[in-house]
Amino acid sequence: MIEVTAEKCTGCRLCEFVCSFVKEGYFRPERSRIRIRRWSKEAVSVPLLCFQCDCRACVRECPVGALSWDETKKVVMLDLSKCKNSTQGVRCYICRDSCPFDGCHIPLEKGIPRPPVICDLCGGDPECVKVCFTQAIQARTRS
Amino acid sequence: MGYTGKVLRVNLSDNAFWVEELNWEWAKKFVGGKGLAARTLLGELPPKIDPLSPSNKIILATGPLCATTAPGASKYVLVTKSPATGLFLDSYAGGQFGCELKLAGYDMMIIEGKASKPSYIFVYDDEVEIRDAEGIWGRNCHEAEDLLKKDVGDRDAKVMVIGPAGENLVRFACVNTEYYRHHGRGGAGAVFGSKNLKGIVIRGTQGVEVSRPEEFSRVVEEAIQQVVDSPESQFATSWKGGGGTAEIVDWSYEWGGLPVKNFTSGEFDVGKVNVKAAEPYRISVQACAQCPCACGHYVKINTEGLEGPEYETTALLGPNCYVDSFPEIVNLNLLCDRLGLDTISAGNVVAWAMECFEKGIITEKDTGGINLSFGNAEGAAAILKQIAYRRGLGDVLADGVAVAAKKIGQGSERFAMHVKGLEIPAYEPRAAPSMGLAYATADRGACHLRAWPIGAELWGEYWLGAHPVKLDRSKPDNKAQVVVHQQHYQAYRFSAITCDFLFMDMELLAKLIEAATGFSEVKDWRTVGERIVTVTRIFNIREGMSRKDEVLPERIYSEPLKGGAADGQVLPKSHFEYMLREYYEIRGYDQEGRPTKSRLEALGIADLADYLPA
Repeated sequence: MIEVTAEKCTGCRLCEFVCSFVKEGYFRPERSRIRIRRWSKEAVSVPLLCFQCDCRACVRECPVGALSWDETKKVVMLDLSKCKNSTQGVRCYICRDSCPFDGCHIPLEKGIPRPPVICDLCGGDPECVKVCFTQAIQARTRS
Repeated sequence: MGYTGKVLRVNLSDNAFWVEELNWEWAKKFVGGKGLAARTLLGELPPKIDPLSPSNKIILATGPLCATTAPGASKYVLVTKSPATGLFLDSYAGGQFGCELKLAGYDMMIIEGKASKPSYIFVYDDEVEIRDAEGIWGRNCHEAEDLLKKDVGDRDAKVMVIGPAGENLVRFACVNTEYYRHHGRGGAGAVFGSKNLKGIVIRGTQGVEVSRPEEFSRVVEEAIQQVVDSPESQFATSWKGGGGTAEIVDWSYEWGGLPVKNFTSGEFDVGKVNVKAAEPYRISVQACAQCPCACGHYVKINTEGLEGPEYETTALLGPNCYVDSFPEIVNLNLLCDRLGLDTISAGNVVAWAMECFEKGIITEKDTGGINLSFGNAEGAAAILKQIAYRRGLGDVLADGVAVAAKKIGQGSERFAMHVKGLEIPAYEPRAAPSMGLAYATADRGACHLRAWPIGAELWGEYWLGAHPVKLDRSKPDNKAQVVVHQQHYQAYRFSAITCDFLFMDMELLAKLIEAATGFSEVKDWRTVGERIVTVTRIFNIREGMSRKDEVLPERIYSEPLKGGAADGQVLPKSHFEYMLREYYEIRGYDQEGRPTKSRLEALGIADLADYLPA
């Protein structure tokens, strides 16, 4: 899992840029699996991402069964062919809204929701962690 | 790539907008940011227009490295004709707005005309709206940013706004973004105000591609490593203990560079305003987008907080006005931020008014009862409010120190500390004479960022290519070539656009830009840099600038500094003129500071000769 120490986050968003670059092939923070929520006025930034938690509300509540738990990889997987967001004009936010940690992100495109993006830990060696110099996000083995 | 290839043009008079294709030939020649916007402004503005008329334009430009992982490259530039100088103006801000503009799909945004009533522009990718801002007009910058975010109903939208100072056309009004970041210098806020434009809100959900992704990734990794390892970036790197630009206060004081009492002295109790004085109030650190260092220290005093105060603000609102309390400086900083005033010019103007007050040139009758003695922070706050609302004496001061001194006279011009109408920032040129040349020849007026030869001068040596150049603080020799060299690389960095505080090799930066854009033409940073410096000079010459404007205030030449590390120093006029002559010679300018046609040809911009008046 990726452990977050929000006090250390400077809101530089290098993690967002790297994530979208690795996952999408170009720089598009809107589609990043990790997102920084900033309160600019108060100078506070908090990284939001999937913690692979045990509640798995997203998996349980997805009405079309597009999300599943991969027991070998220990991450939430998305079956793109099942999610109806953007492809069939459905505007569904259930996975996002069900997550207690705001870890599941629905990217918007011109205001239309796309399928969710969820952190898969880059197969165990997360790229975002490598650009976080303040160590606000750190890779940890789950105990 | 590295570019989105699109330019958004908004015409406020016609309530219209459209998208144009980026001029690719110019992108190759000028890279982006400053260069591209300067070339565009030169081509689009008729000469000698009033900067506060609808004919002026505002250009927001990003560079090819914006919205990528390139370190410190989220900066973007606002280019316009300055109401402070009547010349070219480029002013940079960090934060998140630049990335958002690029992610909305635009390399540049050009705003022209004038709205019929207070308005703001809302951009959501390719949807653009000019919206009513009548309910927000009059609000301070922080309130306005809150209200605009609420109005568009998107917490991820990025905002830039002006405050009352911009609305009232104060010639050193700034534009605020993300609360604590500013297009500070040169009065861009007044250009917004003159267009009835309260602000711009942007939300971008698109992406940026680079030409050679693998190579780009590799070079970025090298660049980030170099930036965070570089001793020069140390002060900006918070997680290595860097205290931000506040660290410069002590350093500057040590060699006599810190201006005290309107540039008369170098003696000050810096312990009351330096980074140690700030320490007890510091709460958190925030970065601009794409920055691995993070230099924005957030301080909180009672219930009020802000990111800062930065070195320039501290020096000019503090020692230069003889205010010797850190909390008072924070208050003045916050006041300027909310009113939308550039803290550098504000501190300089207030200090000048204080000197006039102490000399009896201005009295309490003029100030409406405000005591403007040096050191009186309350007086400073009261006069800043007068300035922002153009009330009483504030109406005179709101035009900047050059115009105010001309109006008030009585010898006050001698100590009006400006070059070309832009107030001098916080490095005393008598203590580092090369900085005098940098101020005098900077395109936007007295500016510490177009070249910053102080480090080289204090060190006594500067590497130009393969050989070192010797510099001596007491002699004018060799300084021009350092200033020329730095102006070129700064112009290049300002087109990329990367931050001043993050130091990476120019060759490495060039490699980054090449990997992003795929253009080999952009690699030759010296030529690109000189090209950009030439474009802005042609702009200024067309506006009537000549050698007579490239001078320093009389005080610098003839009044010895009193106290501090550079006690007794002047910058003799003969030394200054020697440096300037050398500077013109190196650049191949004639005696009036005009570039020659042959130089334009060599730089591949022969067509620009048409813009030079006969």
